[in-house]
Parts: sequence; structure tokens; C-alpha cells
Amino acid sequence: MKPEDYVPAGQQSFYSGMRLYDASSDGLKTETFDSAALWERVNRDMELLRDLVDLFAEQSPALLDSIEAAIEQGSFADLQKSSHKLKGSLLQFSASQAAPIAAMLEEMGKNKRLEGAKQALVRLRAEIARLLPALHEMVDGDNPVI
Amino acid sequence: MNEMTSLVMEQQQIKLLDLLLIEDNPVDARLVSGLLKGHSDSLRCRHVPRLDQAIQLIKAVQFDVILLDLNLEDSSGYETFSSILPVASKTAILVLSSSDDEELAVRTVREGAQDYLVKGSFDARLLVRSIRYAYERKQSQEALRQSEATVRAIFENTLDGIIISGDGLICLEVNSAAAGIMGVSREELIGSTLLRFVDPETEAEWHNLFQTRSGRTKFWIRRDDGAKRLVDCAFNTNILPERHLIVLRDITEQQNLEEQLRQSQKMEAVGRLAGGVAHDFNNILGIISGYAELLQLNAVDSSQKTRADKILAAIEKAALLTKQLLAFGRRQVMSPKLLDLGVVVTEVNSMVHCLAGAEIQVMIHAQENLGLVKADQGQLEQVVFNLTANARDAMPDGGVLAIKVENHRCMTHSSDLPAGDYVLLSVRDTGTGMDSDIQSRIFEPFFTTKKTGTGLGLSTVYGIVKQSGGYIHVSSEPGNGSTFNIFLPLAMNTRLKTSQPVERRHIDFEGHETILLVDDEDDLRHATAEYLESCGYKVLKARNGKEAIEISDGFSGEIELLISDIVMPKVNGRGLVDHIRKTRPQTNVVLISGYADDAVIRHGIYLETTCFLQKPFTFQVLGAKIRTLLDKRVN
Repeated sequence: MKPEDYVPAGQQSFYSGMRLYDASSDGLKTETFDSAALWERVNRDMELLRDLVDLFAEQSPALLDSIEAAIEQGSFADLQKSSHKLKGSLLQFSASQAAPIAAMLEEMGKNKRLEGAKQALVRLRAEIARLLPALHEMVDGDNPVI
Repeated sequence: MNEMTSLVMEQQQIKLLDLLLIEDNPVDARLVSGLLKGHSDSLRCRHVPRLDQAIQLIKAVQFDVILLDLNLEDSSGYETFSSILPVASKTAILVLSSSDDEELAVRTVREGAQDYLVKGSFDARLLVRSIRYAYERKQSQEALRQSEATVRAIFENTLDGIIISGDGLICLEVNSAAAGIMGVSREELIGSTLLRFVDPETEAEWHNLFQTRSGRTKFWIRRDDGAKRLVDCAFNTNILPERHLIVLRDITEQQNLEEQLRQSQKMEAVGRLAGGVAHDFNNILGIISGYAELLQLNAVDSSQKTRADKILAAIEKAALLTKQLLAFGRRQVMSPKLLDLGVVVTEVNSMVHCLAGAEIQVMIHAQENLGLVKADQGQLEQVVFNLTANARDAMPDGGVLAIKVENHRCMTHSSDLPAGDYVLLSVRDTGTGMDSDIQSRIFEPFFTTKKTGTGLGLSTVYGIVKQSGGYIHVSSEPGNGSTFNIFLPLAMNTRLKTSQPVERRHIDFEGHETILLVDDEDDLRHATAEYLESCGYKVLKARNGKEAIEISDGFSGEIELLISDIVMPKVNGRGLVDHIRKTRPQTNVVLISGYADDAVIRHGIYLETTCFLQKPFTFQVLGAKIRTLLDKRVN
């Protein structure tokens, strides 16, 4: 399956600036989020950034489970809703690898298509598993690791 | 001033805004609140995650700005926005949209939101600026809306008609008043040209008029129902490209009042003229009457006495006609009083005959024991005159005019005439009659079927009847004449005193007092003096007030009575009376005049303290008046 199968045509221009996920590749991209953009987004407020990371760490497992349940049950509305929420959070962290996958899952829910959803969820979990430690590394200490 | 100072000053002027963040994603909510932390002195933010919570809070608290995520736990997409909008109509809304929701976000802005931000693409600076911009934009929109509402309210509620027209006087926008003036609905007027309502022959004039920038004109419009109205039109062309402003005011009633005023002023002038003529005429009648009485007193046989009687009878008729002429011309404000309508009609008998003309047979009948009505006598006389003139015009080849006054009891109540007791004045002619269309319009001001005439006669009748609390009905058929029935409410039941004919018996009023007689009319003065001297009075005669004062001042004896004309050259009656009252306070005063009593009042004579006789008077009347005064004085 090629990347364009996952990305709706209308959104390809949006993601043109990002590295698209290549499902045929065995390797994962090394940059999980844009730390510089994130640092500016939070107005260089370390306390705010830490709160956001903590909230995401708390929120993301539940959302991933919710997506999984929606796929299992064939509930397109729940799939769309949970994916949308997770996507929103990922975008705030400029998570360029994970956010597009969440967007794909949201689109599947919207179009009522589940083909490839399980595989996408697997990749999404993997990306978030990489993202969280990177975020924690950024906020540990007084100065952010950018 | 450095940047920091100006920033502080700007901060000091910034209004504290109350914000409501409606966002169910805790990460997004924490980010927004974190970014606003540095502006807590000017931005105060509350947060709810659900739509139902938000609606409840908005109803209780007035927020300045709402930050709205469209996808919530209990609502999503456009529905979220459409649920918030009605409860937050005065609050600015800033939509927080996802990157793939921009189309939806744009739609919300088109439909009432002030702005939107894409999540993940704004920082603190942009967020704060967007919040303030949304608030300012909402304030401006509200101010504009209120201003438009005010202008619209003025446009809709002004009593003057307002029309915005395009070229060709096509009505593009009109208010209710304009439609009312034209006698059509607003929908009918929009799209029509104003030229539809004016005389086609004036179209060119209209086009020329609108070549000028602005102006004012009056014109008659003809409504679809045929009614004519006079309209004042003020216009201003090209207030906007190809848009012209026209303001209309129906001035038909005002014109009617002005015309009535002109008529009234004309009648007043006629009245003054009639008063002047009557004065001279009364003086002449006084002379004739005086010498006729002397002839009567000194008649040697019955045939001489009979001739003198006939002269005096003719003078009485002439005096009555003069009185009626004065009444016809008099238009001063009068007040209602209890009247016997039969007496009123009988008293204007002669004038009615004059107005009707020789070719029309006039029959007047008043029932005995008529009830009294409360009305203005002058106005009722005007009603009779106007109806007489109307009947005369309907009978160009002659006919019959019948005027009848009788009591009338209406037993059954109707919208035309409530049940009750009335005095009915009926004026019937055998003229051309009227069809139903004309009958329905005869009381309209300016309506007339005649080539000449103001069209105000019957509208005046109608106005007087209504003012007197009465009702007027007309019945007519073409070729069968017309009958006007006027019902005036009965004010009081009464039995009329039947008037006794005046017996012409000569009574001698003898006396020996001294009378100062003053009149600038030589013949009348001589005749009166001759009569008084024949009664035994000593008479001092003067031609005017100045001469009278000289005689009085030079006379050492008592002067028991002053008889003086009022309007005289040099010193008039008032000046003379003032002098006599100062120098001879015991002297009685009788004033005589050829003018009516209103003119007497205009000369400053106060009738309640002075006796007054209007010329012409018989010597009998004068003699009786003198004797009564002098006898009272003695007693």
C-alpha cells in the first residue's frame, strides 16, 4: 500500500512539507517531533510544556484504546472522534510522524472504511511510544533539549 | 516616549475581557490557558469541556469572547456553532479549528463568528491579538447593527412618506407612510413609477423638475380609488449613484384648513363691509322711521295714520333684513348655547329667500314646541345658507325648496343614528338629484360637480353638524331632488313661548328732564329732538362729542340723560361718556348706533354698564327706554 492510499487527496498539499510515512519501509524516521516549533508554540514556558507532556502521557493510552475498540466494533463515529482528538494533540506537539497516521484513521472513520486501520493503529502506537520519551527528554531539566 | 511606556499606556486603556474556552481536549485547553497566562490582567478565561455546560454558563454570565472548538464530546462540526450562536448573539466568537476543518471554520465566520484560528499554528501573540480583534469586530458589528436598526426604525415609523427611487421615478424602497399617501400597499408601490399617480399632462414637468439637484413642489395625486390628495414633495437627486430621495407629506387637510381660513377672512372682510353698509343704512332707516313716527303722532285723520303705519312696517322689515345681512357676514368665534332651531330658521327666512332667488319657491315650516339644541347660532345659520345655496344650484330652472324643523325620536339604534331624541332640520329640493357615487363623496373637501365653486360648502356643513354632536343623512335620486336631514341632539325639552304680535299702540312718554342729544346725522338728530321736545323734555343738541362736551361744560343746570351716537368724528361716544361720567356722574347714558353690538364692543363701550339701542329704533322704544331710566333714577 502506498502512502497516497492513506492520505486523502485534498490533504496531500498540507503534508507536503512533512515526511510522509512510507508503509513499505522497515525503518522509522528519526525525527518524531519538531522541538523548536514546540518550544515557540508554548511561548518558551517550561512549566506549560511539562503540563502538556503530562496531559498527553495520560491521555494518549486511553485514546489509542478507544481507537482500537472502535475498529474492533466497526464504530466509524467513535473511530473518527478519538482519532481527531489524538490528532489534535499530536499536532500541538508538531509530531510529524504520528499526526498523519492519526489523520488517516480519522479519515477512515469519516469515510466509513476500515481497510488498513489495524495496521495504521500499530504504527501509531509505535510512533507514540517513540514520541513520549522524546518529549520527556525535552522537558527533563531546567532547559529544554531542542 | 519609549516603547515600554506606550505599551503600558496602551495596556491601561485595554478593556478587561471575559473569555470562555469551550474545548474538550485537555492538551489544547491547557495550551490556550497557558498562552493567556501572561495577559491575566486584561484577559480572564474560564473553561468548560462540553457544549451543554457552555450553554448553561453563557445564559448566566455575559462573556466578551468565546473560544470555540467545534468538535466536542456532546456535539461536533457546524452543529456546535449553530447551538452556541443564538445564546451568544452579543458575544464575539473565535473558532478554534483543526487544520482540515478550515472550510467549516470559514463558513462559521460567514455566518456570525468573528474569526478562526487553526490549532497548532498560533502562538501567544497571535492568540491574544485574534481575541482582541474578534471583540473589536463584534463591537463594531453591533454598533452598525444598532445604527441600521435605528435608521430602519426612523424610515419605517416617520409620518412622512419616504421613497428611494431610481431613474424614471421608479420606487425602489418605500415606507408605510408613502404607501398610505398613495393609497396602495408597499408591495404595489415598489416597482411602480410615481408618475402613475400624477396627471399625465404634468409628466414632462416632473422630468424637468428632477433634472435639478434638489427642490420642493406641491402636486395633486389621484389614487386608484379616484380620491385626490394634495402632496408636498421634497426631493434630493443622486444621494447615491442613480438613487434619489423623495419625501412626501399629505397636506390636503392643511390646505383645507387654509382654504377655510381664507374663506373666513374673506367673509370677515365681507362682514366688515356689510357692517359699514348696515351702519349707514340703519342711520337712514332711523331718519325715515323718526319722521314716520312724527307723522304718525301728528296724523290728522286715520288715513294719514295708516300711511305712517305702513312706512313704519316697511322700515321694520328693512331693519330685519339688515340684521340678517350682518349675521351672514359675521364670522367671529361664537360659543354654543341653547337654541330654538325653529326661531333660528325663521329669523333667516329673508336671507334664505334672497339666496334662493326669485325663481325658487321657498317654504319654511317650524313645528311648535320644538325642543332646544345646544349649538352655535352663527354656525347653524351657515348650515342653512350653504344647503340653500346647494339646493339653488341643483335647480337652475326653478323649483321648490322646503325647510322643515321638527322634533324627532329615533326608536332603534343604528350606526347612522343612535336611538334618542333629536331636533330634525330637513332641507329638501326638487332639483337634479345625485347618483350614489356622488352622494358618497359630497362631504369631501374640494369635491364639486360644478364648474365654479370651492367644493367646501357641504364639507363645512358636515363639519358643523359633527361639531354640534349631530348626524347628517342625505337621500337623493337622479331627477328626483335631494333631501338633507340633520339630526341635532335634544338638549332640553321646552315649550316655546308663542310670540305675540307687537301691538302698535302709541303711548305718550312725557317728561321734563334735560337731555343732551348727540348724533352726527343731522336729520336723525333733528327728528329725535323734535320727538323728545314734543314729550316735554328739554333737549340740548350736539353734532359730535367735542360739541357735546362744550355744551355740557357750559350748562349750569342738571343734565339727567345723555343720548349719544357712538361712532362720531372728533370725539366719539366713548370719549364723551368718559367725560360725562367724570363731570356729571349722576347723568344716565343711552348709546345708539347703526352698528351691531360687536362693533360697539370694539369701540370699547362696556354694554353691561350702559344702555344701548341699535338703529333704527322707534321713538316708542326710545321713549320707553328713557322713561324707565329716568324713573329708576328718581326712585
